[in-house]
Amino acid sequence: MSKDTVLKKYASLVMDEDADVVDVLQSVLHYYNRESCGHCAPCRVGTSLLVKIIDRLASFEGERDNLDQLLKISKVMRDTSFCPVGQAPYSPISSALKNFQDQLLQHVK
Amino acid sequence: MINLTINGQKVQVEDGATILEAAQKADIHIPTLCYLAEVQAIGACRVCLVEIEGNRNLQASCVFPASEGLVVHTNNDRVRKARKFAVEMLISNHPMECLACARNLNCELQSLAEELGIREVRFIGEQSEGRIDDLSPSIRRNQNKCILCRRCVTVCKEIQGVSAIFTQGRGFETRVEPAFDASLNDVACAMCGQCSVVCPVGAITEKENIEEVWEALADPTKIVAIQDAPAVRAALGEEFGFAPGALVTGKMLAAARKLGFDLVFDTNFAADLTIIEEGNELLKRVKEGGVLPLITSCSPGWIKFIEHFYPEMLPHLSTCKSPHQMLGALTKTYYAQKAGIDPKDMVVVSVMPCTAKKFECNRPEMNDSGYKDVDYVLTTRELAKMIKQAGIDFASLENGSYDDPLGEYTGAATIFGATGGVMEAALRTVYEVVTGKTLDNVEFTAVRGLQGIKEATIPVEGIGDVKVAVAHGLGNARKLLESIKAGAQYHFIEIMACPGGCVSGGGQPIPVNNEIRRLRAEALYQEDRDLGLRKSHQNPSITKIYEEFLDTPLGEKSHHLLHTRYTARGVYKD
Ligand code: SF4
Ligand code: SF4
Ligand code: SF4
Ligand code: SF4
Ligand code: FES
Repeated sequence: MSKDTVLKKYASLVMDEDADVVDVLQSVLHYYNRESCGHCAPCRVGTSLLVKIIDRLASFEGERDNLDQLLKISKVMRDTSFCPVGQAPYSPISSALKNFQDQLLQHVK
Repeated sequence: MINLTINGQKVQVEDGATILEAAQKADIHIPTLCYLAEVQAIGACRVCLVEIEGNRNLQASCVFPASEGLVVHTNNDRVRKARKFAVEMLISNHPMECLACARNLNCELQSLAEELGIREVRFIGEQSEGRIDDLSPSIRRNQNKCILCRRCVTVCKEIQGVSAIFTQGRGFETRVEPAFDASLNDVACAMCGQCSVVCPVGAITEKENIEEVWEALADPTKIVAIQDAPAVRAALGEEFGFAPGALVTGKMLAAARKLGFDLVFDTNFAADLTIIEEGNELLKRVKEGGVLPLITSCSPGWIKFIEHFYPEMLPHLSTCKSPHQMLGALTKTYYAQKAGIDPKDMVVVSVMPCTAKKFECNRPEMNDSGYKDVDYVLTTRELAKMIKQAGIDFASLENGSYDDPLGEYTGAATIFGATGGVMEAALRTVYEVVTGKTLDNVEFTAVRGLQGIKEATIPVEGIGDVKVAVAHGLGNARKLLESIKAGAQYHFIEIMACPGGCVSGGGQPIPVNNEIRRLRAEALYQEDRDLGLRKSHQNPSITKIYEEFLDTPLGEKSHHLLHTRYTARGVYKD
């Protein structure tokens, strides 16, 4: 299994060798945010929070705390959401944090 | 039967029960928010999450079926954190306006935040840009406070059969709105207010008129009269810590005087009057071959519904105004003349269990006294707020009394507040008027209770078998109307817009459920039993008003002041 397997698993993303992990996460999280049907609170609000945070990181406005928030929010979303959409963001986020922490930290101001 | 273990405790429940129901049976509390017993279980808010051994994810107990051998934890660290998160998600997109909110101190989101120990707002998210729709005279919607529990949508669709509001958009853009984001005032809404009763937060409330009433009370040139509907006395106490079903008639009247009302009348007087007018209308239609069945007209939410959805059936409606509108017109004519008051100086305030009556009092035809017959309608909840604002210690009030003559009433009037009550009151009078005999057993139990549609056949010497039916909740009303269209034969039908009748009207204290409906109705049946006079035609003030003023039922004056006409509206805005 290559490093980016989990990133691809849910969103079917083709990742370039030198793609920036934040760009990838950004498109994945925007995808779930669009897919959220709005039925349950954790996913409806949670995906919008995740998007807000990743957008800040993508524009190099983020803070160190934001990485932790991404993980915490998506983790409880996995535990609490009604269906797989709200449960999904945790895997790509945790995988990115584990494997591409350096890249992510470059986005912190 | 199913056996499961919750928090180490063995629980046995019926097949088909959810984990939440199983926990409730074992007196184990699980917090909920979108769930509402008897209304909906949709697993949307995720507040009721529990851990089930062997399940990777937490599960919403309001929808997860109990099954043999399950081992459930409702209160461990993981569960507590998850619940807290679910509520924090809602709060991250919630205007923190408790201090200025109609639901302050009676808000499920507030109490959940307290119960779950939320002490900091960790997430500040996107704030949805909802709108405030306060064009309807009955209902005010503030979308910014909506937590998307969908209770209002379910009540409006499933219980009321109206579907005036529904969820639109998806994801974070999801919102509850009428079609095309129109105002509730411009769509086919019954104004019944059942949505405001089930809303856990301040996103749907009645449109308050408290300030206008305070102003009238403060104006020395105005004589301000108050009247209270039957159902108010069976529920007002709940706002002051009394158990559901406590009858607080005397305290309610005393509070009205303390608030500064100059005249304290009782809508029950006009309920008795309605029976005389409507009873005669029924007999006239039976004798002269008029349109049957005759259908009651005292529930303005029901009137708005039939005007929108069954305009072709309007000729079935009794032309009687709802009782408080009759009383308003009489206050500004009969009473004003008697007391030598210029009606232009009078203000009539109706305290009603109902939000639809706010719409009704603003109908252009409700000006038969030459003035607006009823100036303001307050809900039971609003009256309670005024009593609290005035610093009145409600619980310790001595019993007060109403003013004659528009305050006297019989037991038949007071049961108007429960589903079947108008029917029962009418039968008591019609029977005696037609047969000339005394009705010994005045209790028609077949039309009592919470069954959606109730039917009875009463043999009345002189006119034969009288076939009646009673429906409460607009969904049941729709079913009954469809059966009439399909050929079902009845003479007389009672319809109330709200499930349970006015005791659980859209303006009544929150919360309500079937047990509370039953208790409030029982309070009214008890008052009926306690009153010496239990038939409307025995009310001495009614006899007097015909002698002194109205002359005869369905007569010229009655026609002018007590009867009305209806408007075919259709489903789309005209
Ligand atoms: S988790 Fe599923 S049900 Fe809940 S909002 Fe997301 S998509 Fe809808
Ligand atoms: S709805 Fe509840 S939580 Fe929201 S502002 Fe009103 S009282 Fe406060
Ligand atoms: S007032 Fe009644 S009809 Fe109108 S939206 Fe609310 S529940 Fe539906
Ligand atoms: S308006 Fe109230 S009842 Fe309706 S979905 Fe929103 S919070 Fe729930
Ligand atoms: S109460 Fe069960 S999900 Fe809302």
